[in-house]
Amino acid sequence: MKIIVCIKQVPDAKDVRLDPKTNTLAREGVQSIMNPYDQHAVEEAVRLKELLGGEVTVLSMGPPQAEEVLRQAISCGADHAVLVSDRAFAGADTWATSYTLAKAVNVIGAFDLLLCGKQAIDGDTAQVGPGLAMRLQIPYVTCVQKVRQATDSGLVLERMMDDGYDVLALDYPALLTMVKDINEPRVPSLKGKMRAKKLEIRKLTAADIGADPACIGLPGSPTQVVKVFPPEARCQRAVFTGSLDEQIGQLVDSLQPYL
Amino acid sequence: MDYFLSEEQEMIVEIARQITDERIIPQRAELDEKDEFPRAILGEMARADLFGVPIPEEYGGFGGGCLDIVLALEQLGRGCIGVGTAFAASSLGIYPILIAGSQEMREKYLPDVASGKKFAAFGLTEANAGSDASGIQTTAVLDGDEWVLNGTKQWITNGGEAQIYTVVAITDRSKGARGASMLVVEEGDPGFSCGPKEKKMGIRASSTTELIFKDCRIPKDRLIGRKGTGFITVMKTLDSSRPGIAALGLGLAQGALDEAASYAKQRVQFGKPIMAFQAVQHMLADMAIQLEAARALVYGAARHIDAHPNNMSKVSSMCKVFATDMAMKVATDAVQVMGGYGYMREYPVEKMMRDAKILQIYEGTNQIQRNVVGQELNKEYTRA
Amino acid sequence: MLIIDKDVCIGCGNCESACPFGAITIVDGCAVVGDGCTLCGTCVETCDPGALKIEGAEKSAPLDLASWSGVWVYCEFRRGALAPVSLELLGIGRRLADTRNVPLSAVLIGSETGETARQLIAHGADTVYRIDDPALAHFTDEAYGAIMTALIQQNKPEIVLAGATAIGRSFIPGVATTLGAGLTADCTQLAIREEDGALLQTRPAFGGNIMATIVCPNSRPQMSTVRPKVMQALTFDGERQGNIVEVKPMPEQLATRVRVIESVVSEEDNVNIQESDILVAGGRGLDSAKGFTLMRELAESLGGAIAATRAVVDAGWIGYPHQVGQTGKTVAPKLYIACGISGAVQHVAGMQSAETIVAINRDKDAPIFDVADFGLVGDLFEIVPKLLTQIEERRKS
Repeated sequence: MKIIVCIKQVPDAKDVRLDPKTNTLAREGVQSIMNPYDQHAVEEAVRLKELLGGEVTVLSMGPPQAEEVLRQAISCGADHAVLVSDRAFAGADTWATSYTLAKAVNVIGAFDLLLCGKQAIDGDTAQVGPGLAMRLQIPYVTCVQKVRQATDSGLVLERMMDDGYDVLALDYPALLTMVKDINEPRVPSLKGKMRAKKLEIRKLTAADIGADPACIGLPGSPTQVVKVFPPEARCQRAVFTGSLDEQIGQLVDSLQPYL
Repeated sequence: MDYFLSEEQEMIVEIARQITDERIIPQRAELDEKDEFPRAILGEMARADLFGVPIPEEYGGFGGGCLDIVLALEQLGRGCIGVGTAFAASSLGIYPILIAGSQEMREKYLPDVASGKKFAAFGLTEANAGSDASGIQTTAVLDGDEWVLNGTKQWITNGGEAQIYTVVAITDRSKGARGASMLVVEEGDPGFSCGPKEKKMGIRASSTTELIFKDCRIPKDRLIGRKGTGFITVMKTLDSSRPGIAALGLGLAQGALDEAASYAKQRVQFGKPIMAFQAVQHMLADMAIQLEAARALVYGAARHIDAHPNNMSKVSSMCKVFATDMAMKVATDAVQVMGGYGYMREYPVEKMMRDAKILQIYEGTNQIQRNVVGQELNKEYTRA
Repeated sequence: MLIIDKDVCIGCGNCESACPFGAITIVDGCAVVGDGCTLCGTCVETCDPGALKIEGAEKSAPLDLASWSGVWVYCEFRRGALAPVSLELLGIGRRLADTRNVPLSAVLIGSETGETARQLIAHGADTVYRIDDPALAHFTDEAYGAIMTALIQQNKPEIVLAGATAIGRSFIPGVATTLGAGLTADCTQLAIREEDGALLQTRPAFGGNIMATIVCPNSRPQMSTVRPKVMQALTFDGERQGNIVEVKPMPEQLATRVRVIESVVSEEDNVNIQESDILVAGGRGLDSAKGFTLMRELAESLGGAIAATRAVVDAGWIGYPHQVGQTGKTVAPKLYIACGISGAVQHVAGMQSAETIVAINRDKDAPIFDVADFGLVGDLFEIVPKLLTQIEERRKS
């Protein structure tokens, strides 16, 4: 089994908040972490490797410091790490990102499974996984909540839907995106951490993957951000007075339109 | 304070910290409430290679020293002494094999413990043999190619959960202290069973039971080291393991200080956070000072033990006494700082206070430790 | 790439404090851009001396944008029913189409869709493309995606909208990739830019901490998935006229490599909380799974559904489909009653667009009160039963 897992370095959501004075994201103390959904994808890849044999390659597109999340994946059981990094990738939307990752996957070589997190918590778009599969012309399943059965030729999966779940069967190669229910990511092992420290990370630039400059970064992105602004503040905020019973009465008054 | 840890030591701390924060802390109240053995957490610790820390590399371990295990236990202790004790007791159970076991015996048992496939336990205490080990009643008699064990061990940590038990038994009563030997008993050996789980004040996640031997027959080669060397092995084992108990104390105190200090910052009385009151600040300051002093002593002792493995009794006892007395005091003060909330089960410090007490009792009471230090002083000043 | 003209930069720091991503720092009196830059352009606007500009390689020949016309809405049909978000999409789609002075079309894919196409016309569609085939009874990304892609290529709409549901968020990104179209996920506002008729797509980012407006200047169609419950559906008008265009799926479109073995409806969880107008949400303050009994009573009385925080879902008190927040669902009901919920950022991110938020919590300093419109401080086990009684009394009187 050859498994490739795409991972992304993101700001830790619990640190991200708006500075009320400047209405921009407060940057102090914001840690960079591996996108939480991607941690589940790495874990599932390592479990499949433990079950079926083979190797796991983790792939990330990002700035040089994204090496950290690749090393974290190695410490949790992945075997190889590839970083696609180039200033020319800056401003990439999901279309340009899936193009870049597809090019990088082609450089890495043959695979049976490509795994991604359901979405990254900084953008929440959930578009790169499906986009990558389309570019590689392989089938994909999003929001996988359970691998019911895994063999050398294919998988039986549960895909989360809004009203329940679908049970799906597919053969390799395929791309899956993972929700957090699928597993509990392991804590890195001591041996894994030592390996991660020493491991040489393969680095690829835009030229290395043979990317068309018109398809990467800002020029390759059909969508462009024209404005960033804080959400409207909520302002109603009523204060009730009196005994608890009286306060509840006032609440019921306020909720009249919904009763 | 910077203790100049090596890169590998930082890694051990990171892993143990992550397990503590992500696995132990969210579950500790429930494990305590239900007297539940933390199998899943220990499994996670095994997968992270923590059980391999004290085991030499040739047996699949990490080949770590005393400081390495101290660092791991300090983190675990910050989460739950019950879980930390279950982990520490497995190491304790294999120390006799590490210290005195034959090559074959090490090869047989150590890899499985390093990988976490099997747990170990250490069986010394009996109803009439606590601090005074000479009261041991359990006997082992050689009958052909087998040892036959009879007797009952009491309050054995990991009883019923371990697969490997290293047990002290009298092989020749006439020889007194030189008549004791250590043997390995395995789960499932005929005539060996464990009693029901004891109900304890604290460390309720750990399992504590009797080990019952009724004509328990085990192969001859289960003897650890030479016949009659049991007490020496026991003493060396406990000398090696005590800094680990001290480390649990450091962790517990750190956890208690963390709780108390963050509570003091957000609890408002008389219009300001209670952290603003000097009476509270002084309590927290004393807690922090004692903790740091203890940490310096424990780390120093561990480094001394790693450098001078033949001269460890005194420092080992010193750090155990100081760090565990400190832990009791800091946990009690944390409850005090938090007042009524601290006394409630909803907050973790009441559990810390219950858990802290055992640290002053097990692996040699703090009174016995002071005896050891006193006797060592007596020897040193005689020489001078 | 963000270009900084060092001779023009005065080191005022306006860009540094304006950058939402913390990617600019002032070093030795001059702005320096780091790797976090997403080229959003916020800094360029704030730079009074005009030292900043964003430059990129020119796009290869821009598409003939004018040949793309009309607004399309994908209408989700599953298990014999239309997803309510489809009607909301027709509502906003109608507004956009009228502004652009173009027709509004609906795409209906499924099996045994019955009178649904008529219903779509009654809610604003001018044309309905109906692809009704037994092989489409189950959703698959491949078949639905192939059909949608082919239809768009043949008819060239300028705007394509779909619900930000499990299905929409799954197959629409594949369609957009194949078409080379820009896609914006989870939009909460859509409008037409006056100058050039471009679609302004606004969506929350960073778990709702910032809003971003996005356009697709050089590609068509402009595609968006839209959050349920955000847009207004038009009232049913049985008199409305429209065409229904039957489309036969090609056999190769129906040949899928992923096979659906079964489709399971969760018994307990068959309410999609994103579709509910009223949500009663429980957090750790419920003390145990039993606390949800009280939540259900309140939800039943109000005709709402049950939501929950990550903590209680993780604790196993209730299933994941009820989870609201960053790693759960994002909801925008009319009324959200948060009981025993402290209001962690991750939870608030998933519910702050509710019309009215009520918080009931023991701790008067709990952050949930910062986002709540109405707050009651006290024991929820005392307050909720009283609330239930008072609601009943109010209804009787």
